[in-house]
Amino acid sequence: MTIETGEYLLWRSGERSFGLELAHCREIVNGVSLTRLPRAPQFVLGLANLRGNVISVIDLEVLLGYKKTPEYKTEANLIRLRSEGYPVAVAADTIRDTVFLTAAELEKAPANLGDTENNFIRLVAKLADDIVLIPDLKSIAEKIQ
Amino acid sequence: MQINLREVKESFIATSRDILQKAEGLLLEMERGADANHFAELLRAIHTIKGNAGIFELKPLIQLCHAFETRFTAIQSRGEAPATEVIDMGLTAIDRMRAVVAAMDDKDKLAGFKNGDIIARLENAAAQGAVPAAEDKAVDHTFDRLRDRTKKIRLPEKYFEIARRGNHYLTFLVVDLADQGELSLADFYASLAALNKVQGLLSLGVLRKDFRVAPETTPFLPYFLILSTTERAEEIAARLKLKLILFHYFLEPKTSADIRTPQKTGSPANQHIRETHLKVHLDLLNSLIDITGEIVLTRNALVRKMESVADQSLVAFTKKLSYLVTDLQDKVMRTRLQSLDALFHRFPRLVRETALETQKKAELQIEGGDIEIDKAIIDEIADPLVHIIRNAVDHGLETPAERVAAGKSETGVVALTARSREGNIVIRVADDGRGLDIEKIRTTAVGKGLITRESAQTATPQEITEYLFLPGFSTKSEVTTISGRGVGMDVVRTNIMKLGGSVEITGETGKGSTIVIVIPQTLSILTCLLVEMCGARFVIPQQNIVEVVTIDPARLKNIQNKEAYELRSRLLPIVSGSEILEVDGMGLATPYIVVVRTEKYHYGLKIQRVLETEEVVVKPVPHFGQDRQVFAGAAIMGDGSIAPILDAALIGKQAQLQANAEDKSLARETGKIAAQAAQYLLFRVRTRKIAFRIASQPRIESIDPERIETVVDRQVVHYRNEVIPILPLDFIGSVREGDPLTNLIIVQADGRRYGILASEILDILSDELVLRREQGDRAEIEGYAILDEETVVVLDLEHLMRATHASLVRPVIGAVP
Repeated sequence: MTIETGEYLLWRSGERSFGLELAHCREIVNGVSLTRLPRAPQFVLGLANLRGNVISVIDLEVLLGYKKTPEYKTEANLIRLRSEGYPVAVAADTIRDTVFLTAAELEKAPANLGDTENNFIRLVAKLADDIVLIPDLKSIAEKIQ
Repeated sequence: MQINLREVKESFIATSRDILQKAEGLLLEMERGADANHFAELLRAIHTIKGNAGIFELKPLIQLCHAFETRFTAIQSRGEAPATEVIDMGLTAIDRMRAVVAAMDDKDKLAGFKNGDIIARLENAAAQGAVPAAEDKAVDHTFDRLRDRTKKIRLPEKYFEIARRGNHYLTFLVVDLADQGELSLADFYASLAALNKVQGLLSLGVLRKDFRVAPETTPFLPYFLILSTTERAEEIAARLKLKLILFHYFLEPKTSADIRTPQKTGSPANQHIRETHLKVHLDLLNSLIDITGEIVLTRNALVRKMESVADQSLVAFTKKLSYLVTDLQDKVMRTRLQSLDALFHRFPRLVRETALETQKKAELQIEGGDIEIDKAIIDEIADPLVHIIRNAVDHGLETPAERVAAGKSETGVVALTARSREGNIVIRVADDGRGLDIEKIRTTAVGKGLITRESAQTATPQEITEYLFLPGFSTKSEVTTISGRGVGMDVVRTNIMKLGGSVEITGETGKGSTIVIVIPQTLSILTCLLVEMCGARFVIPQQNIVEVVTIDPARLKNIQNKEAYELRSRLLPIVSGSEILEVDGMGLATPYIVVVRTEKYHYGLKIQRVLETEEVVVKPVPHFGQDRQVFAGAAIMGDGSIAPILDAALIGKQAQLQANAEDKSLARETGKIAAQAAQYLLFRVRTRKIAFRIASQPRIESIDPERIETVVDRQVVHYRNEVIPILPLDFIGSVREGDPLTNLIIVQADGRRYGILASEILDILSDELVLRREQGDRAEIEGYAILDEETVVVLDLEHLMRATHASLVRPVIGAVP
């Protein structure tokens, strides 16, 4: 697992800050209507229609085990990820900024994370005022197949 | 100028496939009778392949083509029609050529092809048969002969027209590619491509062997180019740094004086050179379709927004845009359509080979290959159709001897027809063979344990025909290579049903059988019913819906903690939305049941509201690694919103419903319900009150007594162009004589209709009647009941109908009891 210096997109979802390499983010769309998908796992907020593509929308906090159930809503801001297979987006409460993170600011996820977190969090970035969790896109994409 | 080798290669693969397909078709035609055109076209096709193969230095392909050419040229020179073995050999060679083209990137695979056998077969026969052309022996070391021969080459008229139009030289030049020094092939093609931008490169390739003059040992690779250029040959060769061997001008530009002479332009001959088709990458096409879908949705949103806009000019523009978008959508959707010929063209060969293997004579007649259908569907129906057509030859047609014995022509006919009907495509495969052997199907089904002996005994021929679709059924053992990959008719049906289509078999013993496939023309659009369930919107594919009924609470039953609904005296398992969606739907009224049916399940789905029927675009939805899905995907509705598509079969599975006919507990209950909720039709025949238990809804009509006819001792009535026998009630006393009877009750059993004549229809009784029955009562009478202090005769209608039917099939005259 390499630590990649580069540009990251930061956003907040619930209580936490997340970030992802800009290269892995396909687009940001605000205020997209969500349709709930019954019987789907809890971490699935619903489906969204982005220009004729049906996208599965993920609640990262539930996926990582910070929350049991998502707060279902009718609209959300989405970050559509670049992934193989079914299209997927994560819901974001507020999109913050893009920042350039260097290897010094990025660390491997600490070993004391829970199992679920360990599977999905790849890196942790320590900023002056915040800690940003950087999930592993591949593991997320695998959950969506 | 960079030439894109990958594109050239892709184009080579695609072109070769088309050409080889054409060559195969020609070969098959030649078997039935070959003329000079066949040979010419076939040789040209193979020659083109060889030329193209030269570009990629595909030695195995070049060798194959070469042997093929030599062989067929020899046959042509003898002026005889190729024998079956020769056609076989040709087909084998074409197959191998295909394989080589497909594997052209895989060096190991290429090396693995042992083409020696095929080439040997081709050459061997060529050596035996060919009359060696004497002049070929004399090898001329000068290029004069080459010059003479190439001069005589006949160029296609098209080339002349192109050159004439541009007022160009039509140049044929031969270069030596073996002596290019540092110039690599890639460079060579790069410069050719550059040349093509400004000038017309019409054709190129390696010269055929018989044009070669130098001894085989000298490194000499004569390569020809046919150009339509403004430049002279020497200039071009110099610019491309090619070693020019020789050239001819087949046409030279007219001088300005010549040009002034009036020329006819735009003649039909000129127009037909224009290319009418363009190869487009499928990905590009699919994204075009997606974008168009998006434009349509945006248009819909815009149109809705415009409703509150007062500016008339803006409204007018929106309308115009809206029409254009509709048009665009229509055209774009059609781009995915492909003519069925793309699929059908491989069947003549299939029929031929199957017939050879099974020692039968068969002819395939194709009709409707021009009908267009979604490419995705073509891909899906290919295997089922292969199976059906093989079956038609293998199982359907008889051997020539059998056919002659049966008074048919030796050659059996398999007719493959396609027609377009109301947005569906109907594909029919009919053979004139032995037809369906109902008894054999019956015994096979029982023998393989697919059906119990009892139910097989009572099954109608139609029901028995359905056995062919049972998994594991096949009247012939699957050992033959023809029956192939172990695909049975059950798989065929499953595949077709997945596309929302249907398959039916009909057959008449001795006359042949017919398989009819009905499939939608396009997959991307599905007609669905939009419903509301647990407060959310879902769509149910129309193809699964039998009916929608309003719930009568009295008919909702609870059996072993499972809900069921009594529908026409049968119990239908009920699935509730909250159960299947795992949400709390309590408190929401569910006044409707959508009755759905799949191959396996038949049940009712309780819903809140029926919204509308809509055509939707289907999009896939992930399963999230779970095996608990109930959706077939998601539908994007006209307004851009999403509604999950309920998959009737998956719901049946997830709700753990019993598959059809296996649900014993329900079946038992159904019997009970039928007894409990028996309804009787009470009527009067003259002075006597009579009743019978209603099995299927009877129809009651008033009737003119004159329409009743008496034939010997039986009465019939003419009813809607049908002659219906009257059930005789004269075994009941005091009904025989009296006023004419003016009411006709029509009942039916086993698809046959019977009439009962009555003076008056009195009532429908829902209460259970207490029946009294005594020994010695006639079998037609179920019993006697007392109603309002009057005796009512209760008929056993089923028995009466059966007895009447039996008496009808006995001859009228000369019946001896």
